[in-house]
Amino acid sequence: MINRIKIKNLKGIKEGELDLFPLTILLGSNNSGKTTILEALFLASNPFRKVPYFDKGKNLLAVEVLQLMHETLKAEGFAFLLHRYIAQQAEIDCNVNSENYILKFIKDSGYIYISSNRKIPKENIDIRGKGIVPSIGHLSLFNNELHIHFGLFLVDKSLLISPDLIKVGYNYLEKNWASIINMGVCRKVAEESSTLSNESYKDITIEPFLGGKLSIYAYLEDGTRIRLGDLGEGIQSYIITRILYEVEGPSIVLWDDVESHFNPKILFKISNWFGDLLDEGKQIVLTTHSLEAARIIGEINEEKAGIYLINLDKNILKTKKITLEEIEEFKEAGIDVRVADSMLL
Amino acid sequence: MKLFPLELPNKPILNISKISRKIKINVTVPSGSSESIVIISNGSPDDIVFGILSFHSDGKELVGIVKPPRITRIAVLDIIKTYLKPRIKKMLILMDQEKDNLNDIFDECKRRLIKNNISITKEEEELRLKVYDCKYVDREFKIILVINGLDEIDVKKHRIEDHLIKAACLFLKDFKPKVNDSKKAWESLGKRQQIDILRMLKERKKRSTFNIFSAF
Repeated sequence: MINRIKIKNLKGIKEGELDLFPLTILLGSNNSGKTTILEALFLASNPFRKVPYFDKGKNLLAVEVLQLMHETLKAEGFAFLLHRYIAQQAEIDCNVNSENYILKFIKDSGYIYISSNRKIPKENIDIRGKGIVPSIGHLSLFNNELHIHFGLFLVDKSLLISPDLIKVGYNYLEKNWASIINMGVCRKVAEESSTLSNESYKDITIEPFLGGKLSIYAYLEDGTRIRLGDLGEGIQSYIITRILYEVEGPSIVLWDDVESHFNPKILFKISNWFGDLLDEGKQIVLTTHSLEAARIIGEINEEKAGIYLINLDKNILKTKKITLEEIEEFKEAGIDVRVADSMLL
Repeated sequence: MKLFPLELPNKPILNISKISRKIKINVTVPSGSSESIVIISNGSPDDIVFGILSFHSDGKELVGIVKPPRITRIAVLDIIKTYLKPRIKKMLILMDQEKDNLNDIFDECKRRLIKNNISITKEEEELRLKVYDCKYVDREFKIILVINGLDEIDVKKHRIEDHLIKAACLFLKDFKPKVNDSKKAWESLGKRQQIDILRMLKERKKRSTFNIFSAF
């Protein structure tokens, strides 16, 4: 488990640190650094590992997933990782069992180099492209070509879940269905999803749709089928996320905007699922704008949960640990912690 | 003075913004940070009146405005400690007098503060206004209690509407409230006349408006 994360010059966060719990819930305004914390944790284990997302004909690497999420910025390369695009160095420092694992993104001569305080055995470095690879490797600042790959995890493997990634997650399932179908997870997820819907799903499979294109289907009890893409967005997201989790088997689940598309019934289901994951020793870090989501997820897992109100003050991360009782108490006094965050932090 | 909400949707801010579109007082901002808050303990039209008074209070000072959803009048004193958590140093509490004697209200407020382990280090009184310098553990703060109502208006329950009825009597020709209930009298005016009165309160000179709301 990651006990503490320190961030320097990564994206919008100039400096900040946060103690982590088995279940950490981050509440905050837009542009308060919540997503950057998740992204830092996602990169920390290995920015070059393949993750279960597929886009534009390729299986994405962790760092490419972040690039995809920030595509709207129209930025070439990975300069977006560095604070204000001009910081010389970004740093992610994770404390695990009293040891610090540091990952650095260092800018030099138009490149971003990756460095870590952890020794990387040579066999874990796989040079796929041409070019000089000092330290662990480098990412071009000017194009998207990645030069190196290594299969070592600096800290526990994590999976980043976000409403922005559901489509590329679906693409991954479609491309890798042959191996996924035999994992035995689809029936379990289908049956669980039935409790969230007015329909009873027996299994999930892939078949040709009109025009012969393959599509993922939910099998109904009466033998009929519905394309996954035609189900409500909440059910789709839940099914895709659950299967991706089983495929990837991460130790840390990072979930951005957990309430997105979900009504309280699905949130309650997810909360119970989180309870199972926590019992298995997994770690969960999630962001939300919804007090209802924080309450549903936090209350069921209260002993293991830590809720933070966070915001950025001149790009410095400000945090305040807050309990569900305090949130309620403020509500009774006419104060919403999300609206009054600048007065509480 | 500019008012900002500490929760959304926030009734006072929405009510003031709604009226602001009609009488152009422009005193609300979507967010802010301040060491001062206004606690509206009775709801509307207390919030609207405070919006107009804020318009007359010059300056760009930011003040948070809250209405505890299920708590009214003196009971607000029982949740004062919650407001200390966001580093608030000055609280203005607006409440209606209703049937109570003014001194009884002030005594009860004092009793509630002491019950909540809040000590009063100094107090100043001015008819319908009381200023308490308070201390809770190591936190020092000020509570300003404003009791709405006018003795000159003959009603069973004194409320903020007493002041509005006084304004109506001043601004509207031939207006004579028929009932001894200022709330009902205010409601009997109809929306258009109410807005006209609120507009006139905004357009009058600061001192004239504050004279009507003498508690301030």
